[in-house]
Amino acid sequence: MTAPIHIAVIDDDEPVLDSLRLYFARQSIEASCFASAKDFLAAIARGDRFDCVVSDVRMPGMSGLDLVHRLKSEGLAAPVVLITGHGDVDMAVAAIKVGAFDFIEKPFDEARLLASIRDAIENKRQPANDGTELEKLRSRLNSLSARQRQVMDLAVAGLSNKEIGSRLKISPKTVENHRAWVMERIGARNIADLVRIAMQIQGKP
Amino acid sequence: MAFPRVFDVNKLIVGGVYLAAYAVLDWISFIGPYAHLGITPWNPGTGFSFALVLLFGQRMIPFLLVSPLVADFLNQQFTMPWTIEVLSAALLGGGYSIALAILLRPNFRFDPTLTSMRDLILLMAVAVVGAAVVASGYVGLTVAGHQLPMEDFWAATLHYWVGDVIGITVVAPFALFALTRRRMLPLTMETALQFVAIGLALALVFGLAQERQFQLFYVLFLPIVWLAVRTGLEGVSVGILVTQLGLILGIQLSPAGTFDVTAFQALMLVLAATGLVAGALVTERRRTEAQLRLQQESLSRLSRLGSMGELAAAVAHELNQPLMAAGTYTRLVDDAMTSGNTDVRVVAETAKKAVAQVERAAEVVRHLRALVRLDRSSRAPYRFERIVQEMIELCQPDLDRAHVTVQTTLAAGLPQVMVDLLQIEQVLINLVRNAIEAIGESGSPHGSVLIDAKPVDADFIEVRVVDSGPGFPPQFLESAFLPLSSHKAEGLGIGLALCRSIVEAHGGQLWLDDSSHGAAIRFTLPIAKTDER
Repeated sequence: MTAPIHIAVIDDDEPVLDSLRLYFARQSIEASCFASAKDFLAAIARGDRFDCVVSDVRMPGMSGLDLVHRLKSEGLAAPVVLITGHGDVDMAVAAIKVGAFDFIEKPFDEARLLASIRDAIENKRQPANDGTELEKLRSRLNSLSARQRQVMDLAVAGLSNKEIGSRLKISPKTVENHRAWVMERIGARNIADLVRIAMQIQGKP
Repeated sequence: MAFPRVFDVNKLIVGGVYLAAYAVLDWISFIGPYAHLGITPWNPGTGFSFALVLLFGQRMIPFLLVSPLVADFLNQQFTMPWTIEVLSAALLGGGYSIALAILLRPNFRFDPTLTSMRDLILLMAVAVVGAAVVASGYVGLTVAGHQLPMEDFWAATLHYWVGDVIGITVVAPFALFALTRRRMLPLTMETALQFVAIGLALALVFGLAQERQFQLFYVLFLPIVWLAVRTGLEGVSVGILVTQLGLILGIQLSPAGTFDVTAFQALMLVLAATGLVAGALVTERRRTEAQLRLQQESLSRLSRLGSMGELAAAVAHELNQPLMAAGTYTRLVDDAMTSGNTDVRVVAETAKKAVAQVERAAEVVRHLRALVRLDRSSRAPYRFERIVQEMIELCQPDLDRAHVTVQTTLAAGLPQVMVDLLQIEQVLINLVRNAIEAIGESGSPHGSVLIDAKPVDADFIEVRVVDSGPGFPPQFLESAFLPLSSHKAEGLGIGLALCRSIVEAHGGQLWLDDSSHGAAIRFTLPIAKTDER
């Protein structure tokens, strides 16, 4: 079907790690599991290489965010998909900004994680370096209303619908509507996508 | 156009009281008149007129027009032809009415209760200019009516002006404070000493007056500045009034002709203005300090709330881990069963793992109580009234935004409760925020939360929190305390479970009530025993 995939899964929670190991085994994906970022880096130091790294954000010792920083500074190209818990979205957005590929909120469906891993490996959503593509995105962005733009900026900053609502003095439901519209216009599948696109348009790395 | 007014009382009653007081003040202050005219060294009635309009609104202006006539009639001081009397009354009342109407214009943003230095300065400026216009007009009228020779115009105008300005400066602030402040002076030994000092200074001024005329007047500044520095604007306004009354009394008791009364009043004017400005400065500084303190307190409270938020996030994390693993295991079982490609032993193994994770989640819930760090040392006796008050202050911005009001019915003589202040505050905040959200989601433009508390027995008080929202959904009443069955994305379930854990950790209980109107929650808190205090 496709070329064999070898991924690394990092989570400090043993049952979570075990369930993912079983899942990936069933999907015929070779998954090396690590209980901490330190163990994972030790494997890297031994010369192990992975097509994709799946990591929890909140871990004792080195966090997922630290790990993204570290991989980047060591020039390792493997894309990172982060798993985040409730209330860690701002941390995840920060991780996207420093180069993580995607983040998925817990609890999630494994199929969603797998899709993200495949996207990451195929590098589907490589930044649209193409000038015309970027131009198209810009004009779509300009077609947003001022309010939609505000909602987008706050969402990209990592705020929840509730926080955005109280900041803009509108109900979380209205925020959700604006947000859905923004995603639709921009062509973002999720918040991680939105953060990446917003960064491209603003010309940041 | 709606004019600002501080009080809304029956106009005729207020007007009647005002006219009577004006006549009395006019009678008391009718000393040392200039020539045979009604130009006296101080006109307290004018200050009273200012206070009347500033506090009761511009609808009181008609009374200003008749008060000079009524007073002159009652005190039998009609010394001029009636045409001039009527005209001068109209000029007096009309002139000050216009001055006050200008002062109350919305663009001046004048606060009649004199809460800032700016308000005080505005009032004094209007007094100085208004009195100048009225004084020259009044004296001009008497000159035109041949009641006064032309060469006296300037001297008479000056007398009149000083008399009115001092009347306003001494009486208006005092009257404004007396009617709008709960307390003007602290009842302490120091206050008593301050007034004794005023008395001594007055005695000195008049006792040695024969030799030294005005030289000793400056002694009067000492007690006034003392009062200003220690009690602020409200206190000093009392001191100024007392000093003025003392001066007038002293002048009355001295042999006629000892003093140039108007010169004395000019000095008094300087004293009053100095005292008021110093008092206003002190009051403003104190207010700034109080605001600073309040902000610091709310900052530290916010950080306390932040740590409770972190606790909730930790609980969510604790629950998410087993939930996620259980989900994955279960889907694996499902997948294996449906695909038919199964090793029964592996499937059974996976299902067992899923069950273990569900049990782990249940364990988290059971031990939620342990997560609410139970440090008994932070428990102390508190007045429940205070806890409620603090909670309302903390929630005020949210309440205002959602147009929700909090009503409290706390039983009289509620005993103190033995609690961890932070945790119980957090329980109330949680309940009130849930209520605000429920009311907001029901689409109602405003709502209310009722908190009542009463003792149930010797050991516990019972608190009830009822909101005007749509109430709990029926299925929620049964499952509210399984955090897994959160009603909303924000996790009402976790919040309520935390509330219950905190209450139970205190030895109390928490119930959801099936209320016919809105959600109702009851909980008990332990009463502080005397030996624990």
